[in-house]
Amino acid sequence: MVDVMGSAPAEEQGRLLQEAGNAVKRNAFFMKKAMDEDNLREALRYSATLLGELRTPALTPQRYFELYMQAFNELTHLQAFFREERRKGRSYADLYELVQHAGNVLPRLYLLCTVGSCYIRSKEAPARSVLKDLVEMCKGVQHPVRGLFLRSYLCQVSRGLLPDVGSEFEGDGGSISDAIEFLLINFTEMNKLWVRMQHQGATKDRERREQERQQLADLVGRNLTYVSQLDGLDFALYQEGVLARVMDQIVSCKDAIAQQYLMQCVIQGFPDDFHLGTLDTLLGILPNLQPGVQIHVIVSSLLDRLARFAASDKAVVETFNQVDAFGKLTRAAAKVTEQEGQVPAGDVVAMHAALLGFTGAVYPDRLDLVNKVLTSAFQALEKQAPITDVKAEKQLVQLLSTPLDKYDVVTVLELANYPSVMSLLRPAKYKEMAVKICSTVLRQRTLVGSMEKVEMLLDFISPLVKDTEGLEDDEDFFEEEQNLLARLVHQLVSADTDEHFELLRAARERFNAGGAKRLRHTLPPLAFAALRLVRQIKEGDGDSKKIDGSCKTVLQWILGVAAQLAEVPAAEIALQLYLQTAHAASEVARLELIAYESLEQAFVLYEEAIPDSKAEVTALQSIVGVLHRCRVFTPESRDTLVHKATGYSAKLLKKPDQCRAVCACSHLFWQEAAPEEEGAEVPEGVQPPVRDSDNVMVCLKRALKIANSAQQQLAVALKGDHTTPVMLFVDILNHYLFYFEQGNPSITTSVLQSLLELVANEMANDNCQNDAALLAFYNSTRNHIAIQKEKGDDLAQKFSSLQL
Amino acid sequence: MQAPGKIHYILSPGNLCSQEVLEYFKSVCSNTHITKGDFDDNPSFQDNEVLELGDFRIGVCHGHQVVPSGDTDALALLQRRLNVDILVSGHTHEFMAMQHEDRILINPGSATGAFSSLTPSAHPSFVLMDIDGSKASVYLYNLIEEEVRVEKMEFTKAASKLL
Repeated sequence: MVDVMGSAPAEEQGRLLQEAGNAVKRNAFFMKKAMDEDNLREALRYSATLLGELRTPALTPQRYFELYMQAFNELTHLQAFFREERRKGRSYADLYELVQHAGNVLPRLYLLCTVGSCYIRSKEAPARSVLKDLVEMCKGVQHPVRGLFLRSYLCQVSRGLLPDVGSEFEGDGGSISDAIEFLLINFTEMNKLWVRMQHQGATKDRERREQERQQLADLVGRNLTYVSQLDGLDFALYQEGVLARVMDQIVSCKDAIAQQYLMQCVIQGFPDDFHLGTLDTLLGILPNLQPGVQIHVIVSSLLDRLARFAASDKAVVETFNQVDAFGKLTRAAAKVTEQEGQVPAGDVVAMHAALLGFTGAVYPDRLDLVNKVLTSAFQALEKQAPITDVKAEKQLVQLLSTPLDKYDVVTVLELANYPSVMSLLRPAKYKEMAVKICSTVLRQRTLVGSMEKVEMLLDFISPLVKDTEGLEDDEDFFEEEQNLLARLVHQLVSADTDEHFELLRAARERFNAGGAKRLRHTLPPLAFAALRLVRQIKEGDGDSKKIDGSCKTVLQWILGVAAQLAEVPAAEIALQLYLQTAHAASEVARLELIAYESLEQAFVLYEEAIPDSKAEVTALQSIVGVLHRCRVFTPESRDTLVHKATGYSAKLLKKPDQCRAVCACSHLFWQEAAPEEEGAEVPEGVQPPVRDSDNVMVCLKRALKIANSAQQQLAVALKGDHTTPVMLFVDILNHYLFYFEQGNPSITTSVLQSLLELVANEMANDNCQNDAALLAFYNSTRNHIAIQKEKGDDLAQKFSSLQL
Repeated sequence: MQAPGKIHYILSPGNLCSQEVLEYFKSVCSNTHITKGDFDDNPSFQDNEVLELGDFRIGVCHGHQVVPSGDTDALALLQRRLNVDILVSGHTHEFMAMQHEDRILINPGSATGAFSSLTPSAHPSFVLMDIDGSKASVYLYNLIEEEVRVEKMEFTKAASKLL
């Protein structure tokens, strides 16, 4: 018999299997016929022939398995027949002897096992004797694949028939030790056969052989599974009787594939509390395994199982402590790296990731242990820094991210060895970590409140803050990264306003190193954080003299930030910041000089740096809006500023823009008192609200003039846009109404009436009647007047004399 | 609510301040109407947007163009100019929804509760509007001290009066 299995070429396999299968069917047919005729002898003869097909050496394990299953099915019929024979009076002892007359070993043994299972079930003989006999007899087949399948058959067919604790076969049939003995002998023999496969045949076929071996692994493992399923298997039995022998076999077989698979079998098959109790043995065996074994995979499996064990039952943590599980596992992990020498970085990281997972599950509060894991990881990896393997990098980022998600970011960053592990990464991945850290702070809404922590945090995320050597910034993500940084500014918060200011200052120092492209994003949030701080300072200390000093300092600092922003260059935002500062200085801190300086700088930017007419319009709108609200300016200062604003408004490029801007400027002469000021005295440093009705009128009349000249414009007439100027008229009319309702003395009923008539005249024009938007505006205005008339209050009086 | 398809329009007075926020809005609903705020630099944003939904004309404007800021009469002026039944404006970060004469003024406040010197203690807020023909149901969402408060207002568009 040729010893090499699967020797037939691939194309042949299918045909051979088919032929063998047919032979099995044919013999089975005759076997069943014989069984029907109650012819035991013939039945046995045919069954032996049938089983003879399993003697083939030509099939691959996969194909052999198919043939085996066919035979297996037929053997179940035979079992039923044996039971029948038994009922008719023939003893199993007889049958047991009879089947041994089969000519060839393999069929003989299959038949023996078949009878054997019936024998045990009938309790005609004690279970342990039959089992012992069978497991010994099977040694007669030493061919690896055939032997494996035979013993697998034995295993399957004896299922449920073992003298387990509480089973019907216990007592006279034996005890659980007999059951364990049986299974372990079967296991040991199967393992030997399995390992032998490795050394058969040519070297060039090694890969294929190893593949085939993997396919057969579960046959061997099943024995251990059945051991673990024994009801009576307690820890004592496991420790004394099972583990030692299994470990022994694992080590002595000196086969990497077997060792890898079987270690996993043990870890996955037996209960976790058993593992806890035998941790020393399990870990102690690791150094004795073959070089090809991936030890980190084994350790990781064990860690994962123990982690889940701890998670499911808090009480076991105590046990973990008693056996110093953490200590042992960490040492084992460290040993793995030392021993192997060149364990790939990815594997080392994976193992430490599992260790971290374990620590997190079992000791969620023990950050010192997390640090220990990081230390171990660092020591294992430092010689390989920077980590260039892509997979390892990814895993390292994952390793570093895990504690971030679980614990508070700032606390994690303080772990002594966190920075060192982070430094193992290449610049690109380091940046990725920095982004994660930032995102986590934002997501957890952590407030970073001390200088020390802020400095440390900014150290960690330095790739975001400034250019790093060897790292190019990715265009697509740059803005998003800077947005993260910008949002981070708002997390730098201290309850003490002085400290808070220092934090902002420190941040700005760092951001300065980032260059113009970063400052554009990072300076505005600093300014706004500071503006908020100004209000806090003011509200916090009440009327104490100290605040002015502090508010002043902060405001001046903001002016510095705005100036810096203007030079980036980012003139439009800088202008807006100046305006925000002016408003804060005027309305919150009541500091006229700073408010003036802010507006002055805003105007300077307007003159020198605002790019186009559209931007001018927006800038001016904002300026007027802010200036309108400022109450802190003395009449002289206010005069200068208002004059500037109205001057610029009249000089805008397009007439309609001019007109609207000048209308807006009219409000600069008409301020409202805040509700809290009603009846009270005007507070110190605040001017009474301006109510200059004459100048309001001047503005509105000027607006009318501009609207008129807009009508004259040739370009307007050529374009056929006759209605825009009329739109302006209606706009101005609405402004007149605004002031009329406010009680501005310059806007008398007659003034308003004449304007109403003027507009009505303009509106009568065909062009205007066809312009839906204009018509709607005009009609709404008239409607508004009508509503005012019907109100029946003082206002209504004034409106009553108006004729529409 | 954030499942795709539930929101049909997004109206934002402006000051998104970054492309990222715009992309986020677009991911919730591609039909966005966003006006230019004083801190926006996106050239595709206009000063005003007007759209028609159901029987309503709705206008959107940031509001930094309106003087006095946040003043009801001044906003009403803008409303008449745009000829809209509902005007959505911002800038002040002060949450407000009211009926004024025969129209509606809404300020959804700041979605993030961002600092504004005009409104010292702004809290995060936004508005959901359900338009059905001539009826508008307005749901006002406010996040005050970690608690979400929802109020509902209903407006029915009156037949317009023309003189």
